[in-house]
Amino acid sequence: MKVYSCLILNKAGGLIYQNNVNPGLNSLSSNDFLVLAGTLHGVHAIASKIKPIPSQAKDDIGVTNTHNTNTNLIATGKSQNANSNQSGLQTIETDFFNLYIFQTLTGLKFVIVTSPNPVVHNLQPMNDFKSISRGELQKQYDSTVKLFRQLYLLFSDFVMKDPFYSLDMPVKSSLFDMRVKELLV
Amino acid sequence: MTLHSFYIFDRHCRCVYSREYTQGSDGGSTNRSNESDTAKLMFGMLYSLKNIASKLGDKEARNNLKSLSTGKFRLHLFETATGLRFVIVSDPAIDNLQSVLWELYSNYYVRNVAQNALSPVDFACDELLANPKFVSETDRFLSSLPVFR
Repeated sequence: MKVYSCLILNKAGGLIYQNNVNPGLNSLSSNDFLVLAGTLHGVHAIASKIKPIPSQAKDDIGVTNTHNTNTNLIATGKSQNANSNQSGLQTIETDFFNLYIFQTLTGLKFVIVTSPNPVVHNLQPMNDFKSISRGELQKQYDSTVKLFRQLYLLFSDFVMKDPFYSLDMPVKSSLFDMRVKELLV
Repeated sequence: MTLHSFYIFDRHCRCVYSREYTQGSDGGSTNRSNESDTAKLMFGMLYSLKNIASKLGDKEARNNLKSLSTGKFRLHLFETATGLRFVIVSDPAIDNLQSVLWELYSNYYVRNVAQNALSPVDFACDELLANPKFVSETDRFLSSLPVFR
């Protein structure tokens, strides 16, 4: 799995950081990236409201999730899973790339674009319905979550602890840039 | 390991066929949620993500959106050259249903709807795909898959 690009969105859906670590994607203008960030933010919100599963339509799947993580945090005082993205959009698979979204408890979104999964990608014979692979994409998602945690750590250390950084504004830290490159290349 | 529902959207972005599978004895419903918010939101989501896919992907080759997932479900998308969109909602553990969607289109849709002289070429604004042969054959095909239950 090769990481092509990494984006960070603030809680309002604005793009605050973007780094093309490996070539492989179409080069977009910065305006296109802003549009992309806004679209992802909107689609993420829509996905968390969709209840496509008929049998479970009655119970409130998804809606109460973030609420629960926060209330648990206050009640127990224990640190929770940093990923609050349980019901929103998590992954997108296309022919040329996979895109992963990780949302922190504070609403920040980390987005990583990677090369597609080799097991799932185009290796399945067209007439074979018996051997539809299962759980491979989930495995890749789990391994990107590990990357996301590292990225979050770097963000906390080199951006949030920077006294000159103002919240929700674009990140212009060469130190952070360098560390992200080290992690993802 | 379940398939939850199956939708077809025509090239005018309308949901012409919706089939929901439930675990109960009634076996789900057909063409009951074509105008539902779920179908509309789902289409909007796929539409905007398709734009992202074609923007970010290769310039020369067409980049198809294959699936998207949340923690609760995975949407599989297949778009035909004529602008029809076949969508299956499944459990997030099922990776790739492209072959199934292709089979649904090339075998069942083309034979029962496209090659059917009595079936309209293009669906009118209030028309749904309710061809009983198509419904029963796709039902049989999908329920015979190992990923169905």
